[in-house]
Amino acid sequence: MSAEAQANTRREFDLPFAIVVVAAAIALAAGLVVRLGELSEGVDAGTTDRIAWGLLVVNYVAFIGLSAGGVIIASLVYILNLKRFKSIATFAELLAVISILLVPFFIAFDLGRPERAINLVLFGRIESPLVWTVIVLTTYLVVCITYLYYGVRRELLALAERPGRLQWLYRLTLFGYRDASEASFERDARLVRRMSYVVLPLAIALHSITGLIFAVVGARPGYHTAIMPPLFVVSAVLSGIALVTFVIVVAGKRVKLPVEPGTVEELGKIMAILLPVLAYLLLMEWTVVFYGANPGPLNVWSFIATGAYAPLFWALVVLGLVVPFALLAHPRWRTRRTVGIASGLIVFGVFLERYLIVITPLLFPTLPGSIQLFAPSTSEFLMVAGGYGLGVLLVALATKLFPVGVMYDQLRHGKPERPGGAGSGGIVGPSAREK
Amino acid sequence: MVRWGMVIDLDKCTACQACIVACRIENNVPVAGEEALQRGRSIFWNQFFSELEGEYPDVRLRMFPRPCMHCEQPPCVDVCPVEATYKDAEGRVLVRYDKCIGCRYCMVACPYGARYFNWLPAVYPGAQRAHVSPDIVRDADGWLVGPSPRPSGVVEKCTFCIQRLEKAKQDDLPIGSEKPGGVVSACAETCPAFAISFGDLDDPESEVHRLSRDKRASRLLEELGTAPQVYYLLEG
Repeated sequence: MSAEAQANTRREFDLPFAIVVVAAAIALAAGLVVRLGELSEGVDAGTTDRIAWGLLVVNYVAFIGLSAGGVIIASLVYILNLKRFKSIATFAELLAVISILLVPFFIAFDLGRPERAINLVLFGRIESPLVWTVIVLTTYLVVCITYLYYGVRRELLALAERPGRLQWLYRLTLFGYRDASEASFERDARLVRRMSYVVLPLAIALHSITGLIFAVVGARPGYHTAIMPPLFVVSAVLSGIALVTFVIVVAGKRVKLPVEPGTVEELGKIMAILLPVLAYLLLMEWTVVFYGANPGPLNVWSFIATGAYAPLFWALVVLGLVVPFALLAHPRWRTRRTVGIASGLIVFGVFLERYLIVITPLLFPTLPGSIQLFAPSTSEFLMVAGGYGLGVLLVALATKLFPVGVMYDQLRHGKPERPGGAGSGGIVGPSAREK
Repeated sequence: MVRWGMVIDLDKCTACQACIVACRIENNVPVAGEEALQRGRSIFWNQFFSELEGEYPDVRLRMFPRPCMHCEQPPCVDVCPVEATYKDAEGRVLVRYDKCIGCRYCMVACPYGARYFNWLPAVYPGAQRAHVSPDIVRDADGWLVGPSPRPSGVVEKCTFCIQRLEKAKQDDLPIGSEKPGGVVSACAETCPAFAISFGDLDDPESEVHRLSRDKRASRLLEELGTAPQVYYLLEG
């Protein structure tokens, strides 16, 4: 590294970034400490004999859903040939892969006996929706990583060809691949395009199965409805796209994403289409429930709308559905800022939806008894924060170690490179802000 | 085929709850303590329920004990991802403690709330320690299905006192309420009002077989199609 580059390094020390990374690391450490304590002291979540699933399962469901964004955006690029999203497809896929990686994390933090998780493979009962999840999630993860990898191989090759501190790493990730010909890149692009046709149905299957985990439980009013799988698919796609959009708006410049102008606004348009679909599915469910005389689901939804969880429910309706739609509906209002706010609200709203759908049906007794309320414990919050911390760390690490966005710009648009080079530093990359 | 079952006569039941206590002692169910109770974590393999029926002044208090129903179509077995909970050859729904991963899906699926998670390691303070039953039952493959020791982080439930039945088979003792000296579950043995009968539902000579066909016989949440092997004789 040249002296100039070192000076560059010092000047570019990124304080907010460092704060975020340190905070994420602390959260992860706290979560791990709580969990390790649990393994000897017993489970300390807010879960009870009746409310067997708590905040960790809500997050497990939420993160399966959030992974949909990358897949949908990548599919838009390759199946529908929407070139505009090409610049962010890689980053969207990265967020998808990291969301999926957090799912086993939340499972491991929730299981009473995480060390026996291998039993899912050794003794998996194919009749159980949880085993469907394990099969599809694993396949999905492998396919998504492959998909991501072939999508950035050209950039990785460019990184590996330049001298720098991390050159060995880029060489390692290429597994000896050296072919820099156009024909070879064409082959990669073709493979990625073909894989899109596999990834998309897999994603639909995964989110349907997540809905089925709840829908198949005949004994729980509120779970047992055929709307669950489609509701979960739509929630997943909407929240996934919202997450990608939100991260791009908040951190896109910082992680030097090559976002083409108008992309964020276009994502806003897609969300404006999906929001009414989600509202529609919920409305259909509520109409059927409230017109029916079946006390089970009626109790659940009346409680959600008017009981102790009413604030959460109305926050979902107003902040999660109405306000984002109002912000996104008119093309003239769709600016980077409004789309950013709307996408943040959508991620939050869909999370509330997950919470209400997963937790509320468990509050009710099936035999004589009174309703029980769920209160997440401090340990539970810390473990969830640990999961978020891990997610932030993975995003930070991946974007800093693999500045593929910068390479994308250089390869496609011949943008000049600053001294130091993209491959020169872990924590610091070059500035790509010269537009 | 043997198919263990139970009939609880609510006309005879005095709601003394001795069955609940007997179950806890027989199966080493640890005392929860105040804190665990407030957190909604207290294990009752056999739990007592009371329900007010009707409106004042026509009110009736209905009370009943609830062991595991050992359903013929158990929803808990359907959802278990690892074969930890299963229907055994004698019609019992059992849990392999050392196979269970603690996902708690079965608790969500059970309509009777009969399944309990060992949130905490079991502790037996003071004199209780001396009364912990050492009985262990393993299935044909060596998995632990009996009551003791109770590992934390797994789901557990009523086994129809499998340790008693296994011991009776070893010692060649008769099993069932109708037989003189017949071995029965702890709750049935303790009941001072003889309200609980235990035995083989498939044996046409058995008391449970006869009572399960009584016109007062009814099963909990029958509309769910779980087909419990525990029957209640409703108040006549």
